[in-house]
Amino acid sequence: MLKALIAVQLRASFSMLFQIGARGKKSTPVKKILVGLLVGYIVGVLGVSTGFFFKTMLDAFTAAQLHWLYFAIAGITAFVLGFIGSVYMAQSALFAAKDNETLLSMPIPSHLILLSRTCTLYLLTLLFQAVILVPALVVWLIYQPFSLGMLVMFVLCALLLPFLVLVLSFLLGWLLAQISQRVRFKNLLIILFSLAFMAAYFILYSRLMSELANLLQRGSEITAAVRRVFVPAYHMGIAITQQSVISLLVFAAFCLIPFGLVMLVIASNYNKVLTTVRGGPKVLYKGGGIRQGSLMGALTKKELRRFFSSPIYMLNSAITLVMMLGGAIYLLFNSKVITDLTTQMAMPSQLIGLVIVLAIALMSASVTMSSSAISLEGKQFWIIQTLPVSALQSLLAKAAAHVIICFPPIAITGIIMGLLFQFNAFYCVMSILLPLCTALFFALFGLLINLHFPKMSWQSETEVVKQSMSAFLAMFLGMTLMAGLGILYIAKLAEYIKPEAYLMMITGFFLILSGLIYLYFRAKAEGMYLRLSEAKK
Amino acid sequence: MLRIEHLSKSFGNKKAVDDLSLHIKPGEIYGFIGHNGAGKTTTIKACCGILRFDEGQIQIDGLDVRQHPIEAKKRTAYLPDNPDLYEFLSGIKYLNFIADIFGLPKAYREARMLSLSDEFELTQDLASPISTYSHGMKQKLAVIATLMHDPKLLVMDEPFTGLDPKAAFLLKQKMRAICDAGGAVFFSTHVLDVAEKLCDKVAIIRYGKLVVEGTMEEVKGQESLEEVFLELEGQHA
Repeated sequence: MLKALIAVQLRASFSMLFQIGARGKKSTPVKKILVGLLVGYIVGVLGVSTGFFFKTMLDAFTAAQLHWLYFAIAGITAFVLGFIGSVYMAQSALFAAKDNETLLSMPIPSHLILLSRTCTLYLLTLLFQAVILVPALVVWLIYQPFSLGMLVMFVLCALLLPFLVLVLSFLLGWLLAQISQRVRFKNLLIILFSLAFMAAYFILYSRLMSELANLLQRGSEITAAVRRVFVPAYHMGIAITQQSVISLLVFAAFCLIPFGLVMLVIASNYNKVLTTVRGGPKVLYKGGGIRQGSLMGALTKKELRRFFSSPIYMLNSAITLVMMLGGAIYLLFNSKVITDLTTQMAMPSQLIGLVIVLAIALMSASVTMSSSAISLEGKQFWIIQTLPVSALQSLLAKAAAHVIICFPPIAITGIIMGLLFQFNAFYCVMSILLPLCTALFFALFGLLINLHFPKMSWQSETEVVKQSMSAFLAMFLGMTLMAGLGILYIAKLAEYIKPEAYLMMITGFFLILSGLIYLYFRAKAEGMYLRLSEAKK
Repeated sequence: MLRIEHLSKSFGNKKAVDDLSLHIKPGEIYGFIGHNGAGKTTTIKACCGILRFDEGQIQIDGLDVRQHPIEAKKRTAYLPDNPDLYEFLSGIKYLNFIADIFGLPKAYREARMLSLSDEFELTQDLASPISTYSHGMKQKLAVIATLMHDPKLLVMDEPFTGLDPKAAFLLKQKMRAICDAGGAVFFSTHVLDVAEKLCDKVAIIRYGKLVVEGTMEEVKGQESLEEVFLELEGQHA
């Protein structure tokens, strides 16, 4: 039974990651090859860049005879990435999956439902962590001698590490599920609680790093310092490099004991949480609430309501806006950080404006709201299809909602940056205009990707907003393109093109691309929307 | 009002609808009957612009649904068998959304929403999120949404599933009222008693092909519709 449950969960979780195009329409070999090349390229870029990072570390730690620290750092980095990857999945997958009712109606003990979902989350976390751990291992195997014992220890540690991540994400998910049962404005509370949890996590992480730096500055030996601050990571490093069974057991205890305790807590009232009636309290209608609006207004408002109704959608697709806004407000009250940073980076003053504008644009490019907007229509897609609304209007409303969500944080950040860096009129305008054009382009681009990689049938929104090919491509390509444009200028074009001209060129570039996508939608969207129905069958 | 000519639709190698032709005239309630997987829902979805079709032509009020999809949809209302509505909206917001899409004036929509909600006994629940609604309440809300803009053609897939007897009775009255006003109703059902009492015309399909079509008297003669249906199923088995 457990095997069947896990198989269903995995199929749901991974089907869209490897799904090429809509079902019902056979993918052409050319498309398969192109997608394969794209995925290969992305994996290659991630693997090679992580590999370079670890090669640099390996050289440094080999010179210092601190081989264990290499794997300790790999463990810490994998933990951080795994946590970011899995943090909001737990609540949605464990407590809010749409097939919970179906499963509960079958003769399946609730602990098996919990166990099957845990296995899926474990595997997904393992996958996230592999992005770090695999390149770290490959670099080691290329440049350092290794034994079978070491490899076995590495595999065991890699298999144990996800449990440590799941402790935190399960705890957050369980707390969010408790909140959901008890309060009326649960979405707002879930968002605030999740942001507070993330902030606490990063503050704790940065405090630990500062503590480590302080210990080292005070002359502590690095081994003692890491052992004191990052105990599990220390034992992971020792277990792998010295094949210490004791360290492996200590590391295993750090991973499995807290995980076991959290599982006990969740299992104690899992059935109760699952069988609690959801959807919020009933509200008595007392008249009013009837307003007339335009068609596009209605469609856009519907998209915005969809966005604000789902904490998992908000947190996964637009968290960078919160980070950008939080960062800008932080800098407003800590302007010394900027002076220190620009001094450290030894950046020519004429480039500061360009870098700031591109940084804001990069943050707006990493908003992936539109890349899930079509898939999230899911079983309700029939509504739009049967109403007198064209596919183009529906897509433009989704893009408009994306841009509307991006606009306030972009404008506030742009104004704060303008004040802090005393921008001239050009940069004041560009610090808002370029990120806004970037948001417009990525809104349309996200929809384009989602049209080609739809997932109309899902059990949990997490499958769409976090694990889908569409969201992954939108995030990766957005950040790569923006970072690439910045690096291209600083490395190659700075001597030929003035920064002001370059920023205008990028703005024009995004506007032209947006126009081309619009034309594509006008020509193709209707047919593609119709095909999406067949994707559901 | 609805003219389906030589409609064919395949899913892979399986022909879901095979050269189907039906004419539903103004004033007619037209029942569409067939076993599970006969092609009823596929036909209905093709009429409403949810599914592409391979061959044939569908016209609503003289408008080709492929060439004039928006104009055709303005005249149509569709009620699916399982109404998955926007659960993140309240009932009133959902109805308001539909009214905005059809461009209904404020006074008209207000009167229409409230009178229909009162009739279907849903007014008190309009402020609640749709996620809190039962299946029947969602079905009622979907019915209200389909009736709000006074459609000329009402297309429904198993419309009585989930409705309580009073709401089902009310819906039958509304169907007749649409036809009396010059519109038409095309719906699929497995409840043959309902079809027999309600429909002016009926079509039975089997594996995507039209088996029999005509007025209720022409199709069933002296027998019951159930007997005719089972007889036809037996003949073609």
